Amino acid sequence: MKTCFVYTMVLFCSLLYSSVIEANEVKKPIVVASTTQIADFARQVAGDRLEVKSILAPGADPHTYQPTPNDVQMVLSADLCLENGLHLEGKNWMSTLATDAGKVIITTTDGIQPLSISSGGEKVADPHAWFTPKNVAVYVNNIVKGLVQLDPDGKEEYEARATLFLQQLRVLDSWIRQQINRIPTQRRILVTTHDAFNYFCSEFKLNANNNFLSIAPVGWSTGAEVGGGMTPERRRKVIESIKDSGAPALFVETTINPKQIREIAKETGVKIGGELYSDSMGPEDSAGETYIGMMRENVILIVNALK
Amino acid sequence: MRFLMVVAIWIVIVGGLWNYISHRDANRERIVATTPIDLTIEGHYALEITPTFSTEEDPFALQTSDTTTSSFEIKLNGSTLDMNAVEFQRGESIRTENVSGVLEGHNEIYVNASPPLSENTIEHGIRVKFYQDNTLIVDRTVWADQGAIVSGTISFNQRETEEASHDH
Repeated sequence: MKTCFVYTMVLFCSLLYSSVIEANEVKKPIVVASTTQIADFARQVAGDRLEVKSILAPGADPHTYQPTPNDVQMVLSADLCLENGLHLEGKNWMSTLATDAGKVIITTTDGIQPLSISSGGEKVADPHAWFTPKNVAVYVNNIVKGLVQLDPDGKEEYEARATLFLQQLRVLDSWIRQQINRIPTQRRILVTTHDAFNYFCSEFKLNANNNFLSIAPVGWSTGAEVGGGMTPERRRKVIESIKDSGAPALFVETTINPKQIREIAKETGVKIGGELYSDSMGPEDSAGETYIGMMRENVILIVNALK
Repeated sequence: MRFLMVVAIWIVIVGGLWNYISHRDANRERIVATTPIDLTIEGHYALEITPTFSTEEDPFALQTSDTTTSSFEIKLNGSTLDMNAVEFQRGESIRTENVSGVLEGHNEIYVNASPPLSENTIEHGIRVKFYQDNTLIVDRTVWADQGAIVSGTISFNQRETEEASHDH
């Protein structure tokens, strides 16, 4: 009788266990984004309805990134891929991964009027478009369209979440203007490691003496591509412009080795204002783990150092 | 013999569990949303709105195939009122006649508008007036902080007049 009871319990438990496992194994569609910013925008829209993954880890540099076999597997498992475009992903690694895996890929910057920057005698589109909330609204709208195509039943949910996020972006835009206004106009000089802040400077009117564009020793890309890397000429120009402008502080970036900017700071006698989130957001549990948090922390750092 | 007993007990337990789950789900299905009773009040209603700003294309609007990029939305009890956003100008009143959908009891007018970004240092608002037979019954202004969306719900109670109820 005892054995009979044990058999019954084993059968019952295995039945219960299998039903629980089955219930939990409802596979969500997978969206794979190239950068942490795009993954955050997608999560804001998708909520828990989809699984959103980022190829780049917080702190990784998209310009110089080399995809790994794990990334190939991640893209193979994806139902939709998202990239920044405008050559942010050095040698277009994200679109190459997606194309090779036969996956649909959406370029989230489609529709943005890119800033044209001169680099090595060539005009290139600046890929760091997420530095204005207005541009992020374009990213979000592109992501909504992509997610609705992937999962038409979730349309209302995606649009509801996107509407909230767009309103938050609007408030963020207004808040940034308010904060930047605390810096006297002649002290609004933003010097960073690389040319990531052109959209930010252009939108919020910093670096008037550089046509409201970034001042940086390294070009728009840190990789060995068109526009990438530091040249002695750039370095000399930056040092001159810092000395001429009287920049109150220089800023390092989370994704780039701070050595160069520290050397320039030493040479010019200007203090380091802090570390800005640029090509990547912050790690989990940091203030910069979301786009809004990243922008908020950057602005607070900039205002405190320059005001 | 033992094996048969195990199978029999197993069938009883699983059957009981299945029975419980199917009845529980059946109970859930029986909860049917009640259709709201139509308590629409007849009469001549008009809505007048006056924004402190001119509407323009909103860069933070959701732009999907069936969503307009209009930066202005006004609803009465959840139904969108047809008011052409393009015509809105700062300080100009726009009046819509023959507004239908006023309910007996609690009513809501919902307003949502995005002031121009270039005016984000100004606090904006929208004045909403609601008339019944040319008598002002609601006069409220929805305000927003600098740079924020003007968004709010104006609630009012409406009772059917004796004259209107005789007309039914």
